[in-house]
Amino acid sequence: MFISLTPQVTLIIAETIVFAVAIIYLIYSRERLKKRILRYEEQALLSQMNPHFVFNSLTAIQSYIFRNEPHTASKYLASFAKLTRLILEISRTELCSIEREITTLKLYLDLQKLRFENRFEYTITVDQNIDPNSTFIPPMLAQPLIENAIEHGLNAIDWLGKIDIRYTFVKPNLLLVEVEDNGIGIDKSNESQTRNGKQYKSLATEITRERIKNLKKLGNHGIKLNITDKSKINSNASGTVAQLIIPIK
Amino acid sequence: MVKAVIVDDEIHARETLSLMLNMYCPEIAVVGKADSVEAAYHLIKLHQPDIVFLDMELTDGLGFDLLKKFDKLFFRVIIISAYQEYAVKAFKFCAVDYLLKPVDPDELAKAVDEALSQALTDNQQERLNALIENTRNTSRNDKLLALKNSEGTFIVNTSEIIRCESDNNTTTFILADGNRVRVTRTLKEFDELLNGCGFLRCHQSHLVNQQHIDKISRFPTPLITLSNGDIVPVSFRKRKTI
Repeated sequence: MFISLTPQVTLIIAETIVFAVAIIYLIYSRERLKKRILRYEEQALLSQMNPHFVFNSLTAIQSYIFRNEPHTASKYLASFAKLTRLILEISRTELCSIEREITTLKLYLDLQKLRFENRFEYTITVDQNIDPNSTFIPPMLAQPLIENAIEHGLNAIDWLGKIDIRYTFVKPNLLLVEVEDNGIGIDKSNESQTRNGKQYKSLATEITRERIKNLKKLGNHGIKLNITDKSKINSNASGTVAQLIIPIK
Repeated sequence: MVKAVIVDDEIHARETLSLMLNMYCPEIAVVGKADSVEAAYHLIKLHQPDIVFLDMELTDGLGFDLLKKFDKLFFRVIIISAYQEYAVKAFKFCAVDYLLKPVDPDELAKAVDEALSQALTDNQQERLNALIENTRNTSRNDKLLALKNSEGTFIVNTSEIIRCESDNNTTTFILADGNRVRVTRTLKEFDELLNGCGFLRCHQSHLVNQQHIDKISRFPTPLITLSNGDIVPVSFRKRKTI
């Protein structure tokens, strides 16, 4: 059936359509702007190197200068420069290959080993069915977790520290990144920090949680972080396991 | 010979400082190094050093915890810190001697010279206590501020400051008890330092404590009357902020 419209009604309909389109466009551009802000925030968080690590590493380099060990000092300085460069580069990208991520983490871990005079060892294993060159993840999510393991987990122990970093697929397209240490465990670490009156909130964990929140808003919904004290799983065990679940597109 | 103890939780930092002192301050003998509050306490009691270089982060607590163990500080303290800006502000607030890591050799030599030339009778302990007090009460609005001039160092509570007035490169503090303290530092520095303590820079030469504002008159010219009856002008640009 055909309904004849008076000119007034046509006009009202036309106006309504224009109005609706305008509103949709406004909402859309607002969303786009929000996402852009989130991306900038993400970049800012990513490029945030822990000042404690930066200045203590620089002091360690200075110690080799005064000990008259120019070779070690230069090696250390070059590693520091490489790490800084990689972090600067990575922070401009939203995704990086596991390969590249591992290169960066190794540099970081080696610098920390120098700083802590080899009081810990580390391993990085990538499951066979992962191709590190073609699997892309949001960069440096695991780094703050490793930092926690070193600074809080392993710092006060009198045995040899161990950090194991593992990349595995729990399901096709669902990556699990684990950071496990044999330190004092997150529960005891938090306890002793409070006892010492250090109201020291872990900047590292906060950064990771903040980033995960942002990544979720940017569409990476399945991303998750679990941190468990190993003594909760096995009363004889000591240390912390941090697990990151990252969906791979 | 001047005896020194180095307290730092990072081995590289202890090592570097000791080597630097060797090279730049040959009058100093490093008699001991420690990484914790406990070890440092015993070391200091044993060696009775003249200077203690103290890091804030130690394995079993904070540098402050070590200071709290002494009723009377018989040694000079130079804080060595890798901390960020907020800590530096806290050190400046109480005029305590500090160095940042990695340590600049010239600054080290200067800090040591200054520390040795100051008599122990000055109020180092009060200043350090003020720093500890301020750090404990980060949420509070009033803080203890050290004002240093040729007559000595005065510790004042920021709530006792009515206003500050600048004259060239000096700043005069007008206090609630009627006292005036003149310091050779710019008003700009104090404006930055007192940011967050409820002060208002109402004029290029005036900084007032908002707690002490009695009356604001806008006509014919904007003026602020303070609790002690002082009247200060408001600059044209700051009109809207009051």
